[in-house]
Amino acid sequence: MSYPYLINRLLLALPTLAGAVTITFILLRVVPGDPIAMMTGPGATEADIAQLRAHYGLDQSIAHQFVIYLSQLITGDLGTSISLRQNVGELIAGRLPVTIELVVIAMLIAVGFALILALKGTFWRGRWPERLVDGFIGVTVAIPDFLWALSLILILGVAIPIMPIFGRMDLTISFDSWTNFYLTESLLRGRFEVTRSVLYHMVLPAVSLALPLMAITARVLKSCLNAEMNREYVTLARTQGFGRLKVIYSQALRNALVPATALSGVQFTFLIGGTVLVERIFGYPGIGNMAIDAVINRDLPLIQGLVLTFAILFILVNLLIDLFITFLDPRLRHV
Amino acid sequence: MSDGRADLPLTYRIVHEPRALFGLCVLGLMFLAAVLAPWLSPHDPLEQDLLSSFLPPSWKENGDPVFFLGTDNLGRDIASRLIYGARTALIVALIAATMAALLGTVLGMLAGFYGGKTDMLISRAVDIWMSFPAVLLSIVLVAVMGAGLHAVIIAIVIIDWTRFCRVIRAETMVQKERDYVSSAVTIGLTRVRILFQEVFPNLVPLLIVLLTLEMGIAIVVETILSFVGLSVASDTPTWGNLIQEGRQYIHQAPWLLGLPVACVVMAVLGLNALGDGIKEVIDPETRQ
Amino acid sequence: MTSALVVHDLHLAVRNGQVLLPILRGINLNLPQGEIHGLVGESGAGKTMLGRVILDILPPSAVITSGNVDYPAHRSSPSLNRKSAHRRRPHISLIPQDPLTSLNPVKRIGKQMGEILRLAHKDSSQQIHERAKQHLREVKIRNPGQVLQQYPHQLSGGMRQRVLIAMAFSTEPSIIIADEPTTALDVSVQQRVLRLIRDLQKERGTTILFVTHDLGVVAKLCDRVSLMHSGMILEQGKVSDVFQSPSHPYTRSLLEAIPRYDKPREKLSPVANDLQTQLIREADEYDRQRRV
Ligand SMILES: Nc1ncnc2c1ncn2[C@@H]1O[C@H](COP(=O)(O)OP(=O)(O)OP(=O)(O)O)[C@@H](O)[C@H]1O
Ligand SMILES: [Mg+2]
Repeated sequence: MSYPYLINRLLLALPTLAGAVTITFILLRVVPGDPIAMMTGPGATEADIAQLRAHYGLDQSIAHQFVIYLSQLITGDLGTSISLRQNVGELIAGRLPVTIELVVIAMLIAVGFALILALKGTFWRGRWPERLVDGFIGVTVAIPDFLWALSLILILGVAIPIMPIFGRMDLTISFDSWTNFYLTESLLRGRFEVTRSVLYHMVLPAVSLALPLMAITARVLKSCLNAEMNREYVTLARTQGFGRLKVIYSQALRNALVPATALSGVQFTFLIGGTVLVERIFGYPGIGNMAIDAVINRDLPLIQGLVLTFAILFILVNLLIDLFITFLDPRLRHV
Repeated sequence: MSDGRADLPLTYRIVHEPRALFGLCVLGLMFLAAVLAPWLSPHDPLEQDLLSSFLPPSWKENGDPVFFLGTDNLGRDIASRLIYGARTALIVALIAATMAALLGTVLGMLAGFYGGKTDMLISRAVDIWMSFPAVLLSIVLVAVMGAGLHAVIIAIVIIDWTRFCRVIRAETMVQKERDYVSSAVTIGLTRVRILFQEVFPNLVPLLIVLLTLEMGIAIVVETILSFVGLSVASDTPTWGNLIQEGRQYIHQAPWLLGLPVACVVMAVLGLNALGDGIKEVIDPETRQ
Repeated sequence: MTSALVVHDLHLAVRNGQVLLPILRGINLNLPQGEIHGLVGESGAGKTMLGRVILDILPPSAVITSGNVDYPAHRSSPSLNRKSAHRRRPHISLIPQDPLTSLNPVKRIGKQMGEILRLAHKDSSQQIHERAKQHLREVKIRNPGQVLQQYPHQLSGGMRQRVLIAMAFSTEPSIIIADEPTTALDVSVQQRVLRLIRDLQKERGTTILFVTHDLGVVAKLCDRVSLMHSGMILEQGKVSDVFQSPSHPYTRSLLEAIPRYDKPREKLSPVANDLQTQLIREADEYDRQRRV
């Protein structure tokens, strides 16, 4: 894994990013509907609307607007939010840590349980517990994170009220964070009551996000493991005195992870997209929640900035997944 | 495994696949509810009865058998609202999924069949599309177009054509290498004719599976947009609107949230099971 | 001499839906200790399946319908394993056919050998490393230190097969199943690998069941030979006897099919079609009679 490779990969991502930026920009302006008219409501006069339009540069041609937007973007300026009257970059930077911590925990949960399910399912190959695992995966995979969130609220928040269903942590605890990475920071600063509260509040949103990813990853990994179990090196390992479980996790697993990661990589980006609704449902103060507010307020610069942020996150996740695959498979390293 | 049954008609085998059967039942129920809504609903879904607001389902304490599944904050009948909600869900699912399938399939077939520049262009577009958070994109689209059922449908089509495009492209590339294509070339059929007359029929089974799955997704997207307040007018009974309203009274009247969530979950599970079941039945054929 | 391996009237079938397809039909084998026994037969005869029964690595769909496998020379505590037809078995190694797919592609050779050695020895990593080196030297690998650092895809086919042979012998097995160990190699490498297996076998007195298509190899390497077709053994005996006076027409046709430089012939006659049909009909007849 060399630097040239990394740089190459990043350069390859640039056109995708440029495409994402352009398309959002055009979509927001070409699709029928007038954001300014919606922003001002029915009471506004023609003159008011024209003035506002000029203020946000919306009276220029689309091409002209785009050039201005791009030239600002290159200097790192994402513009000013219409509804919050703050710098978009700063706004997003403040909320991003919240989402990142949630997403990382959700991914860990998803991957951890996916591994357990896939390994157990493979271990029970051809016996009835395997069907149980398959059935569980089949039901879990069909239900999107949004419905999981609502169901979990109903079950663990209302029917058996043992879990908090709103916010990032107990409001009674005061914690002025420097970085907004509550989880990491509270651990480092030894404020474990904060850690506990943050984790506790994170359970339901993180599990809602994790379940679909867990199911799809488990399904893909299990079928890759099954294919791997029929390979000759596994047969050979079975004659060499390794136990059944050991053959699976120390011989087949790593090989199965290569195609499984490649196949389920996209799903990791879906999890990030899922934060939009899940954060909304749980009142979680991340960029997903912010995105819905931005849309409701027709805050074009903020929407634009958030879509860009999501696109960058997606591309980074894809990059990490590619790196992970090259790390796993020595045959890919020296090409 | 199914070689003994391969000669039986496809419909017979689909009906005898347990998952597909379950899915068909769910879909059938939704159809019935959608078509017969005016006759099936015990009440007018919009009729308010403030004297009997927040009634629990009839089997619970204080329940009123007239309002079988209870009433909401304005005393509207939940059962009737759910039945009418099925109508919206089904309309969106059918129209949006079909249109997304149409767009995605044509582009996917072109990319897979012609390769080269066409393929590069379309595949690149798919890549870019996939780098958006789909949910956010749909919300943005509907916000800009203005709320309403047509906007919801357009948003679903604009976002989800890529699902069809990717899969159909790959399958077209596989089909292209088959013997029947080269023999069609040798007897001098034009490329367009080969693509649509010879290759397309072989894509149909796969397309049906994708379409079924997409209907489930469309129902969820509609629910999500209603939930965010961007679908049809908020007093129209859709499952998403019911969920949105129910969420405000979650401790007071949890059934207001629970019942529509259960409906959406059933619909999604059913459509998924149907897709999986059909795939299971036709898979040996597509593999040959 | 005591037998290392006795297979007694072994019947095996594969479950396909509701039906059981017979694969092995009454196999009898008796391998004296320290002998190399050739197992010859065309593709699909069931040679690999027989090997898998002996190694106790049957696929989930395979069922042993009757018969058993025994190890008289190793009969310490005869506890019958419920799921397989085995008495308590000694360590049996496998030398597989395909050297590329039989090594774990994502692990260095040193790691793979180390894992096997660690099962048998409670040594430090340093000692394990030395052992692995030693085993590689025994299979005439000149730069064992370097090979241990490499991944399978970085080795040549012949090297990989040597590594696999080293692995097979490293557990000091009393029996080795060699399933066409040279088929994937080119001819000059084949000779060297065969010599290697024979030398190691002589040195340690290992019993080997040697599966092959090549009657020439049998003639050079084996003490006894069994000829298989459709899951049945058609002919069995000392190699010299079988080659000089084959009793079954199938054996005769196989021997005639060996190209010989001293006796050039106009055309190569593969095993005649009607003989094939005859043999398959006999197998069907066998199944029918067994069922009644
Ligand atoms: N996993 C399996 N499941 C079902 N049937 C199998 C399986 N493995 C092998 N068979 C069947 O068992 C029979 C014997 O196969 P086997 O691999 O033992 O043949 P072989 O003599 O080793 O052939 P070759 O010389 O090609 O290696 C074949 O008819 C094959 O189709
Ligand atoms: Mg074989």
